[in-house]
Amino acid sequence: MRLDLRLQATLRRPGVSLVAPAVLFLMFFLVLPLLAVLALSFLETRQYEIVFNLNLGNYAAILGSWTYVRPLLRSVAMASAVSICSLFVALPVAVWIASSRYRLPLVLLTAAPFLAGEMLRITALQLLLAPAGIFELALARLGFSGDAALMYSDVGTFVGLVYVWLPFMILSLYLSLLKFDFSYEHVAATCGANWWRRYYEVVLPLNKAGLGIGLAVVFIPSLGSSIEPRFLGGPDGSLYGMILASQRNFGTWARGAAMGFVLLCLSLIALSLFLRIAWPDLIRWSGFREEARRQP
Amino acid sequence: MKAAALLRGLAGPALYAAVIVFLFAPIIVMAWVSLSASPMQPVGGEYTTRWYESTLSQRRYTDALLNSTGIGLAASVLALGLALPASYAIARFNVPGRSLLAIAFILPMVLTNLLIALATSLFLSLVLDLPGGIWTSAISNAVHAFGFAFLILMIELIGHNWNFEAAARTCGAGRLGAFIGITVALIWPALLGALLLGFLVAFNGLEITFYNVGATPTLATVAWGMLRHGIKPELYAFSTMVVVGILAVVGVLAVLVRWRIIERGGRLY
Repeated sequence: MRLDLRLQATLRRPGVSLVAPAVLFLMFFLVLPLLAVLALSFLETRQYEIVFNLNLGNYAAILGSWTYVRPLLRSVAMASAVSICSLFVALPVAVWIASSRYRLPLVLLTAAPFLAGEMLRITALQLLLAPAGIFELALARLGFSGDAALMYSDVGTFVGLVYVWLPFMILSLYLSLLKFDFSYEHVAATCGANWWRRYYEVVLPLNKAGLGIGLAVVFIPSLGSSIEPRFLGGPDGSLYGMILASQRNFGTWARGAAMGFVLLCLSLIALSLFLRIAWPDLIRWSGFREEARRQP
Repeated sequence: MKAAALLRGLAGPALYAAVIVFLFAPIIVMAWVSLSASPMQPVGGEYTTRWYESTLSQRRYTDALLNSTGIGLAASVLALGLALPASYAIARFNVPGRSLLAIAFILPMVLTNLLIALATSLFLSLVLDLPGGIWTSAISNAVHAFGFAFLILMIELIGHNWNFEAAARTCGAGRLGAFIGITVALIWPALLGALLLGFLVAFNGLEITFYNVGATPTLATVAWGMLRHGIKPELYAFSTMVVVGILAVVGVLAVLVRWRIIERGGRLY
């Protein structure tokens, strides 16, 4: 009875009815589908038909065989490398943009390629990096002979992922730096700190919101990437997202569902780690906690 | 010492320029190759608009463009319609569990496309038994676009001054009237941004559309199909048109909004 009353009081708080449509929409079209994926992952598919036979066979197959574990580990390594490289490139760029007088057009210019979409940009990148493509011709003209081996290797996938996700990292660091007091950096410079110390030991620890969000928006999509390894990667080993995408063509939906659920769990773990970095700053900016204390 | 300071001052712009070159070089090269008469040997060759003409005369490409536009429009309007009340409530009111809600609402943006695609296509086709098509892909893309729309509106609404709206209420405006007349009037560039970003995310969406659309041609699925078949100058012409079109529209809108904000602010206060 008292629980019922409390629930009614909660539902009558201002704003609840405005949030409700979005909550219901995501419940129905995201949470429920993900639960369907979970349910399907315990079943089996035989010859394009779903067989109702509850077991953990899909998970045993995925976690017990190198066929799946190796691509998974490779994906984690690839996503880590892409995130770290993006971070190191993006931080000095974001600092320069944020402290510039023309920061809005400058940041829009870096963000613009994202709007052109992943597929069309990978099309363009494939043309540039292709064997005997423009990049190799240019290298040959400069005197570097032989093949640069950029395409159809892990390097190709890596370049493609950095190419697609770097704007996101710059953008999140930039948004965080807008609220940063640059006199800390000037003090460090005056005291003789070199660029490494100024950027990575002064600016970065003071912009944990941008750091955490930036890592999340680069790492998590990279972890499940399937287009970049498909079109830029090599035959020397594929990534987890590619194998997951191929399950659909084979009609092995149950195996695909289990792979998807493993990917979801890894994504959520990564997200919680990165959010832990960003959380204090985010709460402070949004003012959510102070307000909660004021009106209990 | 002076040289070192100069070098330090140049390092920022130099790195920025390098990043811009990295981001735009493939697009520019693609535009160049798409205009070349011999795409296999573009250096020093002749130029032609032949590939553009043949692209525009093929139903496959024009249909793909129309279908993707439809998906983008439907998904972005749906995403904005859900994200506007949600972001308003979370930024303005102490909704129960609002920090967690905010994270849950941004999650669809972060979540790998492939995962959303897998989940929605399984659910819509296997559980609900809906045939794949424009509408199922519009809804699935709206899930993804919602995260982007919500984030843009949240950035705008956190730190928004609610006193304007309160003043309108005091002067006798209704709740909806105050919201539309004051808050929407003040934040409309963010609304436009959320709509545009939502549209582009759904318009360009590959995996989510691919899994849900069935056999209907869309922008990304046509590009995907073509990319598997070696060098296709028509694909480059098609991609160049779309990319240049998107960048032009966004650039013009950015300039327009910037001028109109100044104008608008002058009239409002």
